[in-house]
Amino acid sequence: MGADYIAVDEYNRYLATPTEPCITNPFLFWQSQREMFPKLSSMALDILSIPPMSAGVERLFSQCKIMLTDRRNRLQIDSLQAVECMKSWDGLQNGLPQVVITGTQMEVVEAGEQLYADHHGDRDLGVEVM
Amino acid sequence: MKIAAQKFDQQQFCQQVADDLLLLWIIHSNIPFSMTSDNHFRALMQYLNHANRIPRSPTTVKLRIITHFGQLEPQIADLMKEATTQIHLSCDGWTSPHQTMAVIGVIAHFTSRAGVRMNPVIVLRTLEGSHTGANMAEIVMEVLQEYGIEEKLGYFVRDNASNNDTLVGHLSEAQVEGNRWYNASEYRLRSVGHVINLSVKAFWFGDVDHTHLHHTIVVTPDTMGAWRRMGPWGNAHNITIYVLASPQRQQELKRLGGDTILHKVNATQWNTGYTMIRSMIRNKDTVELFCLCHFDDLEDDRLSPDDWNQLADAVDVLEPFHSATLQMEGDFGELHNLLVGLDFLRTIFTNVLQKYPANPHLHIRRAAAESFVVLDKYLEIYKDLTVCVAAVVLHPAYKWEYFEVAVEKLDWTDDQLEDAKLRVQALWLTQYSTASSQAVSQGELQLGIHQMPITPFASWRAERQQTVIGRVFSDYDQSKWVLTTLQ
Repeated sequence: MGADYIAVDEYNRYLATPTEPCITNPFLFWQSQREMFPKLSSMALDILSIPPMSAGVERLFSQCKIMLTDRRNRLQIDSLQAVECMKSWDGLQNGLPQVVITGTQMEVVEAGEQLYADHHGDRDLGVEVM
Repeated sequence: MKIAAQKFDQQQFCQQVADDLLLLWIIHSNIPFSMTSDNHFRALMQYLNHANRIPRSPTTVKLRIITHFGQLEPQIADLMKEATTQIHLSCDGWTSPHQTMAVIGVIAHFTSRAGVRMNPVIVLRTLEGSHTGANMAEIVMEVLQEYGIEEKLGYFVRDNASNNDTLVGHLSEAQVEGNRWYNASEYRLRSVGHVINLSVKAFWFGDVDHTHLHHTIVVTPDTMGAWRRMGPWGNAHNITIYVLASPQRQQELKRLGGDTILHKVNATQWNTGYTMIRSMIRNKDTVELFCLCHFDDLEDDRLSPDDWNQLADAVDVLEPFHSATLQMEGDFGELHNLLVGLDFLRTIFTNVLQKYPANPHLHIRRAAAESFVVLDKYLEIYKDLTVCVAAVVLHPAYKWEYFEVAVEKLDWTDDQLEDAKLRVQALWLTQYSTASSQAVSQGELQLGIHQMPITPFASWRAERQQTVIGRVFSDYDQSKWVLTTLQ
């Protein structure tokens, strides 16, 4: 296996292999195939990033509704945007630390770390039988 | 370990940590900016010896929030510019309570270079004029330019509002002007949540105009009659509303042995109907007793044994909708679940339709048939969206076999399958096969040459190690950044 093998049209090469019924997490599968299928994995990850539902926007507006109570109806759009964006950005970058409170212990965790753990945590590749 | 956290551990007071914690509290717990000037809050802080460390003026708090936001924005922009994937968007318009402002909200969906799926809100802005597609397109274009991601615009997920087509049409024109191929009809994706809602709504109401029945906590003989005609679940709804109309009736139901308060149907989320019927069934004996006690009012809504059976079947039909929604609504819902999920719902309907003979008086069959028609209509539309098919094909457990089975079951025709194969191949060839793969870094390439991974798991672990090493270094820099830029 070498450069020649990789160069064969990745799509056909992928289709030529049998299905793998044990794989339940295609996101992790394609992350692991970046070297074997550099371009096809890009395609797969791109498509897997598309949400099937626009539920996130609905949740955003429910949050806005909670923010804009009778007492806070003068809240301006720039403040609302800043608060709602930063709520969703927590965990994406390292600007704001996350606070983790467990019992009487409190820990300040750099954002990003937590999200990474949630995503990859103790789960294996989604392969049930190894 | 982070500098801020270290200071915190040592119990030494650090103004930076206090400022960060104050902002986090205000952002995440929806605290009014004016809280910092609240006398009792300041008294508590004073007692804890730190009131003087907290700004008093709401204007200062607002300024800090806005400033911090401005500092984080370029980081989010960089994350998106460097993303492995295109930047997909979901967006919608909303009118605030008391009609004070019409806003547009946009969420970006992508996978970062480090391989993490992200869904940040990128804009919340007031809309000049109405929620038209042209108006919204203008703002979306502005936002894309501000973040510098025009060239990475991917798919657009929205509810089936009619202005969605115009919005994507406008975006498509702008993209073509920028010399980028962007086919509006292929890049426009209907939120499957909307389809599920329409289908469940058809289960309840068929093609009857139901707008006057929304929010019917105020019950009139008219609306009760309209609900009743829908079948046993209409009766269940009437009984629920009757119980919920006063605290005395709710107490009475509880005294009779009801374990939970009955759930009301929420008109914008028809999945709540499933919760309503389920709580009805769970309280069956109590509800029957209650109906006897209120015979004069509820005589026409009493449920026969056959009605209860149909209610149980309704739960069997509606539960899958509920679980399909749960599967797809989260931040990490995956696109292959769309066609697979709708196929699954289709099977549920087929089973119900087979179980009951064609009989217009049998409500469960009529409702299932009406709901099925809606579901099927949208399923056909999704079949034509190449990206939805590609999502299934790129699932290693499905590939084309999934659709070959569907052809055997007559859910797909041979022509549809052949057409889909051509379209997915065209998508691969035109959009992805020629793109330069910036994703694989130098370190990973070397890894690839020296130790070809034996199993997918080993390869994943190797990549994860790389990512973890990269992350430790970037964290170190970032934590320094927090302290320097915020002082």
